[in-house]
Amino acid sequence: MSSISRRRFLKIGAASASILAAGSYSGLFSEALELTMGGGQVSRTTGKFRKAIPSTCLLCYARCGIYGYVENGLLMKIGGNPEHPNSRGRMCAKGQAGINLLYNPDRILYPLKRAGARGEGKWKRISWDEAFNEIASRLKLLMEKGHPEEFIFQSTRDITTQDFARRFLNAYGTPNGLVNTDLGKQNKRIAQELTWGAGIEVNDVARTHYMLNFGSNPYEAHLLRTSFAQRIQEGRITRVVGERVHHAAKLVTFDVRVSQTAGKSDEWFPIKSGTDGLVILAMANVIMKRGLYDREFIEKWTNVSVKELIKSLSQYTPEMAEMISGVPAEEILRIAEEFASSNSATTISTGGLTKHYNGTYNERCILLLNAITGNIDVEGGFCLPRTYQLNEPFPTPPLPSIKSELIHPGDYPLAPHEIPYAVLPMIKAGRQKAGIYMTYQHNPVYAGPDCSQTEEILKDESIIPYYVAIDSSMTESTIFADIVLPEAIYLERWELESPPAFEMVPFISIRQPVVKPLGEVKSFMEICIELAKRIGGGMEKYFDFATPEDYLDAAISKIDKLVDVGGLYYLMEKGVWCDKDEKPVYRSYEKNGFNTPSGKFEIYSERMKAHGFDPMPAYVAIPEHKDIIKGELILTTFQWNVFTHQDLANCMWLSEIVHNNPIWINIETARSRGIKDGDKVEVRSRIGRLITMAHVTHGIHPYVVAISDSCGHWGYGRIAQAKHFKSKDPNTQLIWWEKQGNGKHPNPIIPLRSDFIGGGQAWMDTVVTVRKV
Amino acid sequence: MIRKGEKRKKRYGFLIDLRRCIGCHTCSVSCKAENGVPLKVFRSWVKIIEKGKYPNVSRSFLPSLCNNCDSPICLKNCPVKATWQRNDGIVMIDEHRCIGCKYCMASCPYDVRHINPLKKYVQKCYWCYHRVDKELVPACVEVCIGRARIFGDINDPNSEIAQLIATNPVQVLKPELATEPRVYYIGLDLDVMDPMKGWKGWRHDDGGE
Repeated sequence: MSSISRRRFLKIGAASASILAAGSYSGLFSEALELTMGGGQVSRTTGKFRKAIPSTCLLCYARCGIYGYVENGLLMKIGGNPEHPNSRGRMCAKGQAGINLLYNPDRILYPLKRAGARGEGKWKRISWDEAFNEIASRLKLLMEKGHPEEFIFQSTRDITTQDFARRFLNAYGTPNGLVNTDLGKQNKRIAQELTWGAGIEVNDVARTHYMLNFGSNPYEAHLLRTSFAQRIQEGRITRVVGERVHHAAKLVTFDVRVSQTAGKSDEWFPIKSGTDGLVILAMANVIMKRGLYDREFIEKWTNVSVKELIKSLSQYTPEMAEMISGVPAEEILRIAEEFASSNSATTISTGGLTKHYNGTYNERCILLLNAITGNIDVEGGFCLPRTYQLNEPFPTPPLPSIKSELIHPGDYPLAPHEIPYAVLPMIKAGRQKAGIYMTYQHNPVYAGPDCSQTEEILKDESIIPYYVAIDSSMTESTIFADIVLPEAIYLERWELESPPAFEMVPFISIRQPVVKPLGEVKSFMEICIELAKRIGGGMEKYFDFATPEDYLDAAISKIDKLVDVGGLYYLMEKGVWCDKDEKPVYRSYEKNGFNTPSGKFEIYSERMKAHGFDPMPAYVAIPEHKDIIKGELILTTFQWNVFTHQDLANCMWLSEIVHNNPIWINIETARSRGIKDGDKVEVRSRIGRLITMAHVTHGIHPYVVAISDSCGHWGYGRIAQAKHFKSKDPNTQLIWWEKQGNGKHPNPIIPLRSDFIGGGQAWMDTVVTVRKV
Repeated sequence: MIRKGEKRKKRYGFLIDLRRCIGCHTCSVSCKAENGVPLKVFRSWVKIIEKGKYPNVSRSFLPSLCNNCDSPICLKNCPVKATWQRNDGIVMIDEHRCIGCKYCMASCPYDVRHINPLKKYVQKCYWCYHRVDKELVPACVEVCIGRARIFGDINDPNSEIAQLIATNPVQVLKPELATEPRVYYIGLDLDVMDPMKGWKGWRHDDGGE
């Protein structure tokens, strides 16, 4: 697009006007000549429009639509794609700073081979040919020895992208493809799969009348953040939608901390960490007792009766919930009544609810609350995700027949996949022998709990004999690798995505290179294709793709309507496709029931009963918190609005805004310990201690302290470590926060502790003491 | 805005609807990306404060940027006439004329001008005039998650911004200084306006020394 023609301008102008009309304030200004909302960018010096290439972001799970604006082969700016049905042209600070990640001075641009002792940090540049040959010959040897399961592969995100990794691992024959879980949402996913057969919900917040938030902070971080936060704002404003008025919805937040979301909610209730489940059950009890439930949905679509529910919930009284959670009983009563009597209502919940020892149970309580009020998959309710299932091109490799402890850990019979942070400790314990450990964009040392233990395992060549890391920079983990393969980041490679659709009509978006890959970096797909060809042994027949585009073309070949309009070419030009004729349909379960054994919404879970767990939504106290002694506090973690968990601290525009992470401590708690704002404090858990600064505030529960989990890198890029240095970019000399430091990472003092059902890490449960030093 | 008999001319204005702001700093970063703003300085910033006593605590945000005032003090005080104003109201700086004396920075009541730490002349937010001239909204408006930022011609009674100003109570910062700022706010909070309140250490604007 070299210039925006008048016609195009009018078209975009009309589109943005209609978005605004639907989104905010009726169409009163339709006659005005408004400026164009997005889809173009000009050079400041020449005034010329830059070439715009549509693509899809991947700095978090939300996967928003973007445009890469390119001049002379360089990426100058990233903008939003207004045609993207979820993000609608809007972006977050992270997405804007993606350009920092691309031109990051600490990127690895060539394959590297270890040249010293493991972890010493000495490297030798090698050719791709040498790297491929070495890895392929080792993989081939394992395969020929009849032990393909000793090839262990681990990656972070479970999204559309991982289909290709699964294909590679299945073709190789290893069951240890540990790509199944997005690190933050394991407990949520397992609870949801057991109850209604989907892995994630879509909260229809733009159309709802009531939002009840337990431990989520969508204004700063959420699985579908930018798309979600903009719709929460929309739902909270009175506006005209079509021919009726949407009245502003109320947002009530239960959280240990005044996050950006809690601080902007209509009401905030501080709650003792890990007791949310009990408050939700008490609310459900009130709703059942007072007859505010949806009888039709309960009797027809769940597998319990109203009578059974009233009986089993009666034990959870608001008074008992008050005693344990600290939330006043009359408030529980009032909120329960408000929630149940709203025309439509939805809960919002993420980490604060599920990253606990009892996270799976808590998520089951959330599902219960939405079900008994009849808010399942209705307009403004708690909806099933709408996505496209992509076609796995023929021939498809068979599933490996070998059993593995890693992927089906016996201690977690209901978890259909690995316990991500337990993988390395399990290998250490001898539950699975490792021949080759390969990671892709995975930094277990920094992102996991008990960092020093993970470090020791990766360092130990008798446990991990060979470690291949595919990553774009050196990290706390890749430093222990034997070979590091430089990865093409999301702005340099091909992929397809179909995230859950907020407008209830599924869509597909493309990720395509907006610039030529830097140096010699290769995309993960290219690496897999080449490795498969070199390993051979029948594996190569599943990778008969000359380029990643061939695979994508085959992946969408079964979606006829997309193929009709041009298939991949359409996506390359527009960035995103959705079926314009398809209208949003709610209550989608009425057609084929829920994806559970009984076809119903399983409030009562036979599968949980079979393994000795409570079949009804229940609350269990967190064992460590039961015998907490006076003076001990609970450490929780959180995310800043400019970061995700691990890999963005080397983006200078983001680190400039947040580079330090003091510990949040309640003003009364601080006073009793003689701690003043800015004082140095020692935080000690049973596995270690750290020293950081105190941020004394009214905005946190007196029994809880909080440290964000995105700062304090010690083995990642120089910007992430707050160092100023000379590079091609003069800005790196301007890094001014060196004296303030880069903060302290809390994970080294958080022990490995999993939810007893789902196996997700219990990030929010660590008991600590805090004292002034 | 417009007096009887006067010919209507284009006058850009900026509106920030604080009911819709989520304090996400997208504007702060998009400005850096669009305008090549170096580290150490910001042209667009979101001040965040915490209010109240436990357990009644809330947060307030104040996104700030150049007000491109109708009566800009910075323009009057520039000794070399490097600052000038466009017909549509945007206050500009001729970077070739600027001698870096910082007189304008001292006189700006909103503290939104900065010295470029690499090039040593004064710069500020120009409401992305290079985009506006090509009929695109400023970069921070384009990506604002909550659609809290509205930009347009306040003299066009049909424009969204004029409609919103006409139908909502709006505030400006430091109205008593008669600078006639053209960034309007809906739902501005008195505490967040107070320059003495706020999280310290978040804004580093020492002029690049």
